[in-house]
Formats: sequence, C-alpha cells, structure tokens
Amino acid sequence: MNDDPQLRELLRTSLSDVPVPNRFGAEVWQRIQARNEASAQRGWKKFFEPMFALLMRPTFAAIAFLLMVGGAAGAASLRAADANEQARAMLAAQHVATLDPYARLAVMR
Amino acid sequence: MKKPVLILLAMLAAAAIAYFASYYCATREARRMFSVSDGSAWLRTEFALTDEQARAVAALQSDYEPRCMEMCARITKSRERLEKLLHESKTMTPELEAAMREVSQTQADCRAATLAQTFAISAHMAPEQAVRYRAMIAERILPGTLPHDTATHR
Repeated sequence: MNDDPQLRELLRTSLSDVPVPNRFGAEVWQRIQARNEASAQRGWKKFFEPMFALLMRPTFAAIAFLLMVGGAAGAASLRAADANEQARAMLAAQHVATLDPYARLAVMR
Repeated sequence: MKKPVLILLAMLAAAAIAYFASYYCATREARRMFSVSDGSAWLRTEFALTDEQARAVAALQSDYEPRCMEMCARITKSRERLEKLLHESKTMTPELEAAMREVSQTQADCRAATLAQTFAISAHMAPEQAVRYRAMIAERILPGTLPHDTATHR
C-alpha cells in the first residue's frame, strides 16, 4: 500500500461532497438500538411461544394444572410435616417443664 | 398471546391457593394444641387420653404444681449457696463440701419427684401409651443415663 499521489488526487476529485442530514448520527444509533430491542423481543418470544402454544391445548393445560396444584399441595404437606414435628417437640418440652424443676428453671431463665 | 398468559396466571394462582390451603389444613391440629396454654391438649392428643384419663392427669398435675415450685426454689437456693462459697473460698472447706452435697442431693430429690410424677401420670394411660410416655420423659430428664432398651421396654 504505497502512498500514490496520483491515486489520492484522482479519489479527491472523483468524490463529490454529499450533504449529510443534521441528525444523521443520532438516527443511525436509533436504528441500531431498535434492531437490538427487536432481537431481544424475538428471544423472549422464542422462549415462551412453544410453552404458550402447548397451554392452548386442553390436554396439556389440564396436565400442567394438575401437576402445579399437586406439586404445590405436596410441597405444603412436606413443610407442614416439619412444622408439626417442631410443634410436637415444643409441646413435649412444655409438658416436661411442668414435671421437671430443672426444665422449668431453664424455661424461666 | 393474552389468553395463554391468563391461563398461566390462573394456574399459578390455583397452585398458590393449593399450597396455603394444604399447609393450613395440615397444621390445624398443632395450632389448636398450642392455643391451650398448659399443654394438656397436646398430652391428650399425643397419648390418646379419654376424658376421664385427662381429668385424672389434670388433677395430678394440679397437686404436683406447688411441689415443683418448691423444688425450683430449693435448686436455686442450693446453687446460689454453692456459687457464693466457690467465690469466697480459696481452699476446699467443709462448708463447700456440704454445699456440693446439698446441690447433688437436691438434684437427686428433684429427679426422683419428677419420675414419681411421671409414673403417677402414666398409671392413668393405656399400657402401651404409658410405656411410650415414660420413655419420652426419661429420655428428656435423664439424657444418656438410661440404655435405650430400658427406656422403651420398661
């Protein structure tokens, strides 16, 4: 890539001065931003659309409904079993404190 | 696009309702037992006491209450005396030895009274419940002092 004065002169004379709109730069950036946003929306659509399509099918929707409700009830039962176990231990300790003076003093402290 | 979103939201709402309803129903009994402050509801449910048995146990507990308070006072007094002597003494003294003996004696008396009350309560229970009750109390008041089999098969 040697610096060729003749070529440079030829390029300078052949390129005419094209007028650029005032907000040319801003508009270019707006277009880039809009394109990025559209691409992101397409990503979300790509993720949710198959699921939404399945939800529109009654059989799948019914199965999903039963699984969600059953899962929630199952999780609640497990958590309740833990809570009940803790409650039993606390009530047992409360009863022992009515019998054992050491346990009572420990509670009173 | 709106309809599937609504379906999904309805499913999530139904799952949330199922969760809270299940939890509420499954813990209702425990909440009821906690609402009775003296723990009698727990004893009654846990050891399947009849009305008559529950009344007999309540009477026993009522009679035992002043004795338990008296023992609490004795424990506190003997401990305080021992702590005071430990703080003041520079060598082992006969008073310190006597205070230590008093603490041990108080502990033995309290354990004996607690066990006697346990046996008295369990006498009002069905045999298999009585065994379970005594094992539970022994495990809590005498941890590590009884072999497991002794506690459960007595």
